[in-house]
Amino acid sequence: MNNSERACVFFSIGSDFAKVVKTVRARHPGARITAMAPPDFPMDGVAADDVVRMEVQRYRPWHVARLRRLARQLRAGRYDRFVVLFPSVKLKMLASLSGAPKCECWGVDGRVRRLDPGFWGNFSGELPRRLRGFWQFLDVWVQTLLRPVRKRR
Amino acid sequence: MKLAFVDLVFSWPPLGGAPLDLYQTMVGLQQLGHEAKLFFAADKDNWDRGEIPPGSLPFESQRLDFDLDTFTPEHVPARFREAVDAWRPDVVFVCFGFFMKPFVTKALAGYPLVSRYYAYEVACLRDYRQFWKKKTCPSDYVNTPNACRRCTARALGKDIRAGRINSYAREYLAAGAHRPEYYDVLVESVRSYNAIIVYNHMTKRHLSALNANVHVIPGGVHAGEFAFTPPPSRKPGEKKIILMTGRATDFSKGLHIVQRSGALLAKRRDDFEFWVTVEAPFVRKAPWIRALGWHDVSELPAFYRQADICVVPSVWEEPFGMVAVEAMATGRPVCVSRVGGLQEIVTPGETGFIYDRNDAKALAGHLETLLDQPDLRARMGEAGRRRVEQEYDWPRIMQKYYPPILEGIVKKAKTA
Repeated sequence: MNNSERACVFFSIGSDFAKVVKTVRARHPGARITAMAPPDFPMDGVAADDVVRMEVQRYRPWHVARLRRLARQLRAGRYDRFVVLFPSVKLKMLASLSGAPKCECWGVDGRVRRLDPGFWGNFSGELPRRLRGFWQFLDVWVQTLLRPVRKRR
Repeated sequence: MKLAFVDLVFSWPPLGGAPLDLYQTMVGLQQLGHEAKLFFAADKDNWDRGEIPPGSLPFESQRLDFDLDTFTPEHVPARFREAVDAWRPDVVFVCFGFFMKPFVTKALAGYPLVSRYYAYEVACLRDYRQFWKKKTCPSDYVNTPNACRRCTARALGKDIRAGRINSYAREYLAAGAHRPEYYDVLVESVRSYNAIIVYNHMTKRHLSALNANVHVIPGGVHAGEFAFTPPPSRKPGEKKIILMTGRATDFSKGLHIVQRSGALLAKRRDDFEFWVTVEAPFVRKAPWIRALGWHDVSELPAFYRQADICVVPSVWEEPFGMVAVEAMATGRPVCVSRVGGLQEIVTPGETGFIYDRNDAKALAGHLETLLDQPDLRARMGEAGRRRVEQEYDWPRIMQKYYPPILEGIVKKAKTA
């Protein structure tokens, strides 16, 4: 990232957000960093140049209009880099909506992983993932409740 | 002697105390004249595991690649066995691993095996911490396996159901740790080790029921990296600094106890200030507390040097307590809670004070004693430094603990 580039770091609850903003700053001292956070999120200690507040604390899948406005808000920022703290499907989809050419997941220790930016790829992968998760969850509880450990001496 | 180290979660730079301990142990054993090689797992779907920049380790290492389909109890042990066999070591150290470690242990059964446990891996499948509902958990997997299985299923179940599976939960499923058969695999693996190394006597007592060869080896620092600094000379009216380092956002680290004791002290005096390595939103707004923000380990010695007293108020059974050792190495008196390995580091009345966990009033009392007596602070700081040089300096640790263990294992293996 050169000095004229713009980066947007999407919030995460906990102290890791401030740490990651600090790490991005340390690695790209001249870049303009925008932190995106919910309305009441405390920004003390977050060393960003700008703060963009989201419309609500939490977005739900049925908040279609709000999500569209969030995507528009992100695109308006014309960020060169969009940074999230977790490679979750929701954040990957948000990253793909941001329009940033580089979408990355940053670890607290400064490790960077490129995100797969495909919106539909992530979206279509979500249903099988949830179905598989549901069956695994069921198996965990069946095993745990119906098959107790019988200790041998 | 050829020593193989097998680690399923190793990554570098370290994400926790375990890789750091392994790194120092391997470097130390090499300095003692042994040949050491690390065999580590890398997972392309998981960046916590096996991420090591080339050339960053000062010892030989071999990376074994896995993915979602191959990180299973069939593939992982077989691959490690194959790699270790090709090197033909005299002793194998099985280090950190989540649920796959017992299977790898079983596969390496032909070698003299040493296991390293860093927390409460055998006792708590949930998160290895035995800390539940803000208290030490009375259950443990060996004695109450079914209660612990339910607890683990509750803790990991939400993410599993949502399909948001991190490396820990994924390994839990892959290893079948939710199944009753896992109990026998785990217990048998603990019994099979020729030696087990742990951080504190509490863990030793717990594991001794399964294996008689449990050794306590503390963690350490390089005393040279933490230069002894005489206590700062304060002008009249200048505030004395009480420092708390570590991951203070984690409830188990006891920031709330520090804040409670600070409030008690503030009623009686105003000549102190707590410095905490945490972001501002996590500390209460009070004139006697200052949030330093998160700092890299390399920046901490500067804070220790500026501090007058250090506190480690953990409320969980901290397996060791590296920050206490670091503070002592710099020459600062330390107030720690009576938990896990932390209580074994400080000699009460000599290098600092120990108070009962959660007892903010007792902590405030000890801090008051230290704030009032600069001579006592200096004396305890010097004694702490001496203790670190004698007990917690890496070269000393390596010389003192490892040769007898290795000799014993090899002797026993030859006899067998």
